Amino acid sequence: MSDTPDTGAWRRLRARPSAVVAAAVLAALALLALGAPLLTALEGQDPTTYHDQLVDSARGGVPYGSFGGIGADHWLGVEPGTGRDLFARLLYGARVSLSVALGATVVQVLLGVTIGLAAGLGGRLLDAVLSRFTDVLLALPMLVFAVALTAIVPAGFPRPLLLILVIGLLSWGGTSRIVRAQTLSLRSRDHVAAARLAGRTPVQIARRELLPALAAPVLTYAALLVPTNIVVEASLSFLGIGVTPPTSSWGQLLSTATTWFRADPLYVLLPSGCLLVTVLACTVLGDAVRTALDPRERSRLAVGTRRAAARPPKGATR
Amino acid sequence: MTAYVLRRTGGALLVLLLLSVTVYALFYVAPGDPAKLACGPRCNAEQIAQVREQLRLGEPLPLQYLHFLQGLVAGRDYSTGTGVLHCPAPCFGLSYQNDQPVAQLLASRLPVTASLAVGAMVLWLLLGVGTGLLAALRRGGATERVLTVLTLTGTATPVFITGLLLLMIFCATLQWLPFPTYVPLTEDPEQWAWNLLLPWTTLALLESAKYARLTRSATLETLAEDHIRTFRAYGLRERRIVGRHALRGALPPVVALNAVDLGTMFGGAMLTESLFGLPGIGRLTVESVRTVDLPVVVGAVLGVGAAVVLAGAVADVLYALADRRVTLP
Repeated sequence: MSDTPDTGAWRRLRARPSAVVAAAVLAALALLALGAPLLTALEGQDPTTYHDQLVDSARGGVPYGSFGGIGADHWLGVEPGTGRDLFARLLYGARVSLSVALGATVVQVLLGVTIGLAAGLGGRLLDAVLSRFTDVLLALPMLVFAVALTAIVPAGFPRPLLLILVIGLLSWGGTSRIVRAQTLSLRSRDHVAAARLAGRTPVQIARRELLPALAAPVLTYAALLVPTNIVVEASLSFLGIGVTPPTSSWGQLLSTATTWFRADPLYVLLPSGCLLVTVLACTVLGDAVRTALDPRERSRLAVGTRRAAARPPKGATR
Repeated sequence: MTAYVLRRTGGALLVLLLLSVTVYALFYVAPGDPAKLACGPRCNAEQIAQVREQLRLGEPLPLQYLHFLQGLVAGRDYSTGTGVLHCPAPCFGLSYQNDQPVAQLLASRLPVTASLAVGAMVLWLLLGVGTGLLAALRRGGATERVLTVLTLTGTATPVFITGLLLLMIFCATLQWLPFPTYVPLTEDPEQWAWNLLLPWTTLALLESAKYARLTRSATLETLAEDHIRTFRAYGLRERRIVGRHALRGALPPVVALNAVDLGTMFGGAMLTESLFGLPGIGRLTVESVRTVDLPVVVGAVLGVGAAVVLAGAVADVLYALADRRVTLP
């Protein structure tokens, strides 16, 4: 393992077809999300305009036409009930889903690295307190706490930012645990001892000696945090507690889809598909990054070893 | 062993105490006036003052917390203008919405959540351990690769997507199953199971992936041990070795994980309950967050916390009992 980007790891990553496909899918998705204003302008629609004339009010608001009203004007049809353009809502939803997930990951990594370093470099007492706190945080069902926390935030607070903060503040535990473990093993190394003898402060040691070596494991773990965060955002929005209309996210679309799945199946399938493809691509890529960076995985002999890192962080959200 | 159990229980209780302090401080110090929330939007200043008196919001916070703890242990009385509302122990407070004690509200939703949890657990154990064993038996083959992809998809798919797809297929298109509504077990066991089948399956599909992976790796690990090699040398059939002896090695981690998962499930499966419209604890939590019913939110969060922390303690003890190699700290 390395202080510099390992060219061997890069080669191993590119040699896996699944990783390349996953990366391509994610790149395409990022482009679609970034180009949302452009693409919807090309379609001639926007995500917030109601089209009452396109939905059948006699049947409760089901879109006219087959497959949810797909046509030249509305490429993926319209939202039942409101008649808002579904293509535009999906693309703008992608922006919210992805940026919340990435933002939350940044918060998690910053907090996790800071707290992990403090626990690893600080005294015994600090380590004990921080580690115990991390254990408790990891054990608690994060979604329940995220839901509960949104109750005490004023209604005017921007929801995407709130989601970033809530998700980030509640699940940095995994990162901090990894950073602490790495720090404990690194700090007995010669270069760290030399830096300490030279009179460097813990902050300087952390920055100059430890952070470069921590980059690889933290990056690996963060890659697996992103899909989890996408699901958590979608879950909160699905429960009606995350993003609220007129802002859309995939989870928000799905939460309204629950009432329409009989009349307009496509309205369920499109956001579900987007969410699933993204989460799977992220997971596959994250797993590939982990394998590529892990020296023990260079040979495929690691069958049946119980490694905690092999599990995606904090999986199930019920 | 007894000393270990006692120590573990003590640790769990300490964690719960700290959790209650944090949660209480977080929710009752937060912006927004509890008295105003409790009273509702149509209250005048005088009524708000009365509620403030009733909730003892004038007291310093540590004292308020002590009263809260006292209520948890011994119950508590709330005086309204006209009479006294008694909240028996464990008292988390009274719901802002309908003045019902929170513990009573939670208890009324418990049968739904428990039905969901226990049924789903049976399914995920069957599915997960079975798949894991199969993967371990067919290691290196195409079957294992297919199973790996399936379990990866299983863990990555949120329940509301699995659930929606199942609803679309089995209720809307094929019409084999009813749209789930909760029928109490005591009323009609057949309808109870029939209605819960879809929610159970939804949860089991998500959870079983984890168990499959755990069973597979633990089984393979046991298969690499010396006594298995001895069995092989004696010429025991592979099926018997895996089914009997390797599975035994895989059990302790599965049992421990299951205790934790079951504990978490008793805190309510918010997404599943909301999707299928089952009136369990999870749905109560979501509803009370929407109406900012703070005592219910705090009660639900502490309830979940207690369930998880206790389940963790139980899991540790079970693990130690099941696997003699574990040295007790």
